[in-house]
Amino acid sequence: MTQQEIEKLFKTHYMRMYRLAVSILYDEDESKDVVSEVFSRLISNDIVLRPETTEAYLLMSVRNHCRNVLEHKQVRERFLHLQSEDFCESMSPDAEQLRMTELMQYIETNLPPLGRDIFRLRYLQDMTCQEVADALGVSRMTVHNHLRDAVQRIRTYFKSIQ
Amino acid sequence: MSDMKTEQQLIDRFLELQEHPEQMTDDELQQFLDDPQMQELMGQMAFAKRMFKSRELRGEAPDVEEEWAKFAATHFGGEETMQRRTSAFSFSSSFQKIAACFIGVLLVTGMAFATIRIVRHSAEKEQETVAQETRISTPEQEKLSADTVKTDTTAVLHPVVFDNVRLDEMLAQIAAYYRVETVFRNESARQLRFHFVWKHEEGIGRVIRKLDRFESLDIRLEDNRIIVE
Repeated sequence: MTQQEIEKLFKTHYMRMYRLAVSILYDEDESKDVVSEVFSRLISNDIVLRPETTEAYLLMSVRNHCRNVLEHKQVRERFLHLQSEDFCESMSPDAEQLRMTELMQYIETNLPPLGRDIFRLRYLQDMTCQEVADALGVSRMTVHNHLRDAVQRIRTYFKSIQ
Repeated sequence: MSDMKTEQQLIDRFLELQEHPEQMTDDELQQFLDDPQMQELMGQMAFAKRMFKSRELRGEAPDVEEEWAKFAATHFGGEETMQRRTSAFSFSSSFQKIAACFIGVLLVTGMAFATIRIVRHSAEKEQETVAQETRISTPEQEKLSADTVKTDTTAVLHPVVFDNVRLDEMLAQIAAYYRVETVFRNESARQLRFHFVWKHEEGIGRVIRKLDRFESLDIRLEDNRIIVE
């Protein structure tokens, strides 16, 4: 592939690839590396891409690279940062997007805004329960109860689609 | 009622350990995670977190132009950024580079020569074993490295020969190409290995029917999903 062709692919697909990587690794720098790596492979292996499958191919490659990154992490780290490969395996990117939209809707109708904020701070900002409590001006018990409720709701959602 | 209670206990234990990981050793953690219920919970929570993260990201994004410039600089010898400089500057900087290369080459020639020979030798050996594992029918595709063939390739034009490749790796590629999901109802089937020639133009139905001819494999297509029983 020529530099122009790579450039076009890069600029067209970068954002989606990057977002997919971040949503698996939660780390901006690691995600940029993964996307870069996918394009490097494209150049070094001289792969021929068909327009209609290009995006699926690129996204699948991102996913595979992310999985490799996760495989090299310690169990403890994966547990604490809630990183799991389970969902990488069987779902196509489109099916997964659909499921995410569904889950978001479910959460928006079933979790109070405070519950959503608590979940976000606890798991996306990696704050402890005490830090979340301080940040939101509520008790630690409230934080705990909301988290428990959130986990229960999420489980109920997954049970409903089985 | 007792189900409710264990479900509660599971969630409480999960939350407690997430908050106080120091309470247990690596082995205890591993045991804890080996429990299928806990694995399921972990998977679901990770998915929920991913969902929040991907929603959060919609607002903010890296600068694609900037990322491209960085990428081009490392992969295309920095032409992208060079073009913007004045010719005199680029002349002197490439001249310096050439000079630096020469000095570098002179310094390490002796050792590098020996190293290159060793590396080449082992690389050739490696390629030989790789060729045995995944054969591809046209010379053009033989350029693909082994792991690309096994896990990544979904968009090549010619038939792909899976030779002794795990079923889950194989189906991941096939499913991605036809944009369908794969469901393993029989987990142990993931590890089955087959020799299979996949022709992209054949259509998913035909490909799955062909796979179903393997005696050890029970596979079908249902509602746009590949089901392995």
